[in-house]
Amino acid sequence: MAEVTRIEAVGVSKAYRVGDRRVQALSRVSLRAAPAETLAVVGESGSGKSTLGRILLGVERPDEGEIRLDSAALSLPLPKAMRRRLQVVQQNPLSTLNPRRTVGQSVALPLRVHRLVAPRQTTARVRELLDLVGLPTDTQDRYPNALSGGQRQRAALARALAAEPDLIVLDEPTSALDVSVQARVLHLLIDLQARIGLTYIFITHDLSVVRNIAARVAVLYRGRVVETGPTEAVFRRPRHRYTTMLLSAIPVVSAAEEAVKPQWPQETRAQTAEAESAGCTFAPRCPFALDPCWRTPPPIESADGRHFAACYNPKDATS
Amino acid sequence: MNDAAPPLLDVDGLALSLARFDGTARILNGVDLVVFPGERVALVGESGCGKTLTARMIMGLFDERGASVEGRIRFDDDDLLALDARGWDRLRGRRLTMIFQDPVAALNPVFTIADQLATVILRGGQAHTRVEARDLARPALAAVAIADPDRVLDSYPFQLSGGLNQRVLIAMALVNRPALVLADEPGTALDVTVQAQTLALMHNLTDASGAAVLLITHNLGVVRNFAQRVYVMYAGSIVEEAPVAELFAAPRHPYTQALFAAVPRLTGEGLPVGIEGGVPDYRVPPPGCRFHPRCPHARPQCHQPPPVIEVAPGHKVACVLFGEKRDG
Ligand SMILES: Nc1ncnc2c1ncn2[C@@H]1O[C@H](COP(=O)(O)OP(=O)(O)OP(=O)(O)O)[C@@H](O)[C@H]1O
Ligand SMILES: Nc1ncnc2c1ncn2[C@@H]1O[C@H](COP(=O)(O)OP(=O)(O)OP(=O)(O)O)[C@@H](O)[C@H]1O
Ligand code: SF4
Ligand SMILES: [Mg+2]
Ligand SMILES: [Mg+2]
Repeated sequence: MAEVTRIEAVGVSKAYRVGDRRVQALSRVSLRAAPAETLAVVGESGSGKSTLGRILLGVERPDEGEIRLDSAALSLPLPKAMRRRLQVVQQNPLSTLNPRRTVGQSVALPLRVHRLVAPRQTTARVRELLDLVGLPTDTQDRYPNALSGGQRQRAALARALAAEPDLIVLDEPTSALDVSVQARVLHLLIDLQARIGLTYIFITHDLSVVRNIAARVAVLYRGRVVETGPTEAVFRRPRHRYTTMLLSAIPVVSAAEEAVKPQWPQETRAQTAEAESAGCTFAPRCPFALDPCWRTPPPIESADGRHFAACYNPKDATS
Repeated sequence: MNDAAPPLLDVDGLALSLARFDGTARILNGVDLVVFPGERVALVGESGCGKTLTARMIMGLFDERGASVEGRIRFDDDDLLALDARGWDRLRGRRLTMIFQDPVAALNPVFTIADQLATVILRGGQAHTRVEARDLARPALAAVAIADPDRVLDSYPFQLSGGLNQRVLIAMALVNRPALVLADEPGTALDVTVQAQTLALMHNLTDASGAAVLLITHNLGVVRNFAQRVYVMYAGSIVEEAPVAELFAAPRHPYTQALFAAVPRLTGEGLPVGIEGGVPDYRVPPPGCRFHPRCPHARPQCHQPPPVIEVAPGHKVACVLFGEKRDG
């Protein structure tokens, strides 16, 4: 399929050193997102989601592999013009909003740094941006501490939008918010995407949100992409066993939702002293593991060229 | 659970006002809530609606200056609002325990898990030396599905994952065989699979020991899996209470309905719209039903305190809509 790709990770690996231990945060991760597309990245805590986000943004250098933006490889450190195109909104907006700057000053900063408007138009543009994210004009003179969680998240978004980016990495943008505030922030994101054609990399633990806003989803397990594909296909017919386990654990509010969740044998044993697998990283926890699963990493494969999984004993082989 | 037995915990008309430099905030506005022995009850509501404050009042952990309290909290035969230090010593950490929202903040970073768990066990009086306490600590950790208790005992909290720390806190809350555990958002810091396992463990362990649980959360899916009965709180009062199945099948209070409508569904019907507005400023709360400024059904009578109507056995709603004669 000749689909246009906005951003692409190609064979990205990254390891950290913690004391005398080596943590392989990412292992040969490849994925891509099209213009105006939302790609969700899900997986358990520590699976490498935020690391991938930072590498996609060009703020961290992969050990191997590269990131391509509109087919051109990013070279680090990123030139200023490139930095402008890639923005981030994090779980804790206080980490991107300087507590000693008013919201207006924070939003104006990218305008000035990237000379996006004439100096005397800065104030007007800041107002426009605050209006775009649904914040009242008087917010510009307030400090982040004087805003509610949802308002802060909107302010962080206004700051990211000020740079007129092509892509925003949303790293758990709503996990600190209530369902009602969350719904409003997510609607705003979708609206903006439709209007400006933004690409989102949406990192989250909330799979019910993913189901409703992402076109495609990538599932990470211990630094590897174990499954990726159109959201509906992955949720309805998960192939990798880890994806099945993840989906089966989603807390839902109705029997109708319960019915669309896959089944998983209940697991209450802790896995603190876990066996090492030279093959699939999920093998030690997988009740469906076969001999090859312990020996060689499974290749990531697809029958239809859209839905990929790296599993020797995928779900629909047995059920 | 036996409804004929008297409740273990009985919170009756609990109100809390705080005098702050910028005015007096009446946050809790008459909370009525009971927990029967061995029962699993959930308390849900938006951020800032007073869930944690209610729990801290029950635990006797709220003694801020400028606080004025009304109502009554009875636990077994004790009046908690009048309890002295010796009384608290007898209850807290023994008959009545709490699992706090943030495991990192609840565990002391400079002591090993063994030290912290031993302190709790010694308080409970089941052991008299640290060596004896360690012997009790091992099975307590094994009970929360920790496969290698000795390694965990010798670790500091930062050396363990969030999921393991959370299990340690559950073990601490259960080791003295309490009658009631207050669990404030256990697992908010965890991913869904670890959270599901944690709740399954709490369910099994409290079932086995006969402990009652009051679970505080804003995740309705978690409530459905865990609780038998639910209280829905809005802006400092209980607006609806019901058995879980009944509440999820037919929420009646407009706030509860709005809360359910805001939950994204796994069946993929698209994103819901949120409830407009937010929890009110407690210094100048709306009179009558505090939800009326956000309520699609609000009418002039809503400016008066709403009646509490039992719409079905055990299902109560504090809303004027149910006090009217309903024709059709
Ligand atoms: N700067 C760093 N130094 C050392 N180790 C790191 C660093 N950043 C990440 N790691 C490790 O790399 C792994 C992946 O971490 P990452 O933060 O990307 O996970 P995540 O999927 O975002 O998790 P969470 O859902 O908890 O946010 C973890 O084992 C983490 O401890
Ligand atoms: N010590 C305090 N002094 C003054 N106000 C307080 C204090 N503790 C809490 N509040 C206020 O009381 C209200 C209720 O707070 P509470 O922590 O009980 O909310 P919650 O329902 O637990 O919310 P969340 O889901 O965010 O934890 C909030 O408006 C909060 O700002
Ligand atoms: S009492 Fe009135 S304002 Fe309150 S929930 Fe009922 S209808 Fe709405
Ligand atoms: Mg992360
Ligand atoms: Mg709280």
